Amino acid sequence: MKLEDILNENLSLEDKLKIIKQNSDVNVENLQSLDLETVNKIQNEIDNVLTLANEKKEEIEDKITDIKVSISTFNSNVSSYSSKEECKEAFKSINEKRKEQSKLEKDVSQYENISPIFSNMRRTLSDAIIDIKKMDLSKSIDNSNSIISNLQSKIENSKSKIQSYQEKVEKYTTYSKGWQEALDRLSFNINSAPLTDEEFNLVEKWSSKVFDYNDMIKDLKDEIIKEQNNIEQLENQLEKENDILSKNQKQQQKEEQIDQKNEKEINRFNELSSKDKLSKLELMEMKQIYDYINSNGQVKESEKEEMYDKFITSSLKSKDGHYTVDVDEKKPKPQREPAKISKSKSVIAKGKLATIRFMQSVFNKAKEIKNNISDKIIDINIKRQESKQNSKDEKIEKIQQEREKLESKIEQLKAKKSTYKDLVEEHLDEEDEYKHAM
Amino acid sequence: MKQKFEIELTDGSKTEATFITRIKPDDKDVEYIYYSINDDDDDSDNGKVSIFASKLVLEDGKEIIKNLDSEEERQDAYKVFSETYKKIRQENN
Repeated sequence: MKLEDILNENLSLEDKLKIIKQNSDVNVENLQSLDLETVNKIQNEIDNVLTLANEKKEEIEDKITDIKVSISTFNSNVSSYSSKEECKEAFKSINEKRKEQSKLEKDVSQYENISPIFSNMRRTLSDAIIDIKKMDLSKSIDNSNSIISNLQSKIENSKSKIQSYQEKVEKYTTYSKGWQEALDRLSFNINSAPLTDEEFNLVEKWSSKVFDYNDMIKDLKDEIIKEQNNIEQLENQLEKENDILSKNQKQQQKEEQIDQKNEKEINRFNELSSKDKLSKLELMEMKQIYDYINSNGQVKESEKEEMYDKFITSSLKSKDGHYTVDVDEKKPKPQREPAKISKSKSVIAKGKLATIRFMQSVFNKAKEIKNNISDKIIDINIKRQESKQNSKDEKIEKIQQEREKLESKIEQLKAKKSTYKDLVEEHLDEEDEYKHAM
Repeated sequence: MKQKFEIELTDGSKTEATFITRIKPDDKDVEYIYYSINDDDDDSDNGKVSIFASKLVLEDGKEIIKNLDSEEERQDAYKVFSETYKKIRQENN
């Protein structure tokens, strides 16, 4: 399934997680075919899924802890039970809990080690959004140009029609006038004598011409008005579209200028980073460029991360190969042998290269780069860990108290059992005596 | 992501280390620095690496990397690293 399928509300959390894992290698090119709104929605949904997955993981882990605690307090000593049924039930109950633990451990595995996938995906989506926005702006400009061209063509067409109609109006007006003049001459003749049949026929014929031409002129004039109204509407649309085009072109120009500036800054940054040792000023310059690029919305996350790495490497290279704080350059630097590192005393863990890289990304996200260019101290709240541990300890203590209560009760029952046993034996002795007596 | 620097081991050899982070816990005076070094016998991209912990101390106004003094310190460094990492992951997610 494709990544955008996670927007389907009918899918469960587990299904969405599967889709995300399946698409973990998605790159910016894959996403460019989607529209901006969809990519934004995917980004939000990714965050949502991660939050829910972590909550679910914690919930399951708590359940596993509870089960482990019960199992650890389970007393398998048969003599602690008052009957074989009770013993059997206890074992059965613990066995069920153990099965449940196995199932939960299997369930929780799907929620583990998912953070790198989500981090990478979030980064890829952010970068894709930058590309999509650029493409959308270009498309919008192309679209506006096409619309404008079309509108202009229609306006020209209407104007051409108007001209043609006007020429016809002129022509028909001339014709109409001509026939009107002929009729006027005939009407002059009526003053002197009645019209002959032939003359009357002419009147019918010529007047018909005059009225026909007048009708045609009227129709043409109506058409001219219609086309003029059409032109007005088209020109309004043209004006609006030109405004949109102008705005988008300005935006594109502005973005291109920023891109050019960014490229220049990045080139300078790379130039500095290629040096073996940097002066304080050069390092400051690097930092300033990094800060500028890091806050720039037109630069991709992948680029920013690469710059960060180079920045740290340069800051380390510029000192003596170890961490040092800024010292007053005027004071003579003390000659000191760098400490030699013992492998056996220093190795705290081993892992795959990919895992270590991921760990670096986790720490880097938490870091703030401040003016002294070294990595800042990360605060840890050990008390939170301790209090969590304390609450677990409290739980274990509570269960132990309950266990002590149960053990005490069992002792009481054993004592009672022993008493009853004595009573039964006594009774049996008495019975024997009685029988013997009988 | 690679942030490289050189480190000298006790056998005299110099090797390339990749910086991971530095951490100073609230309730301790020590500040640890963590970095990774490729295992000698595996250079591949998905090979194993070792995470090293050292401490940072101030001497004559300079911060210097120093070896951990004891097994106890090594254990403490590990604990600080893993708890910090877990907390950041939780907060980021």
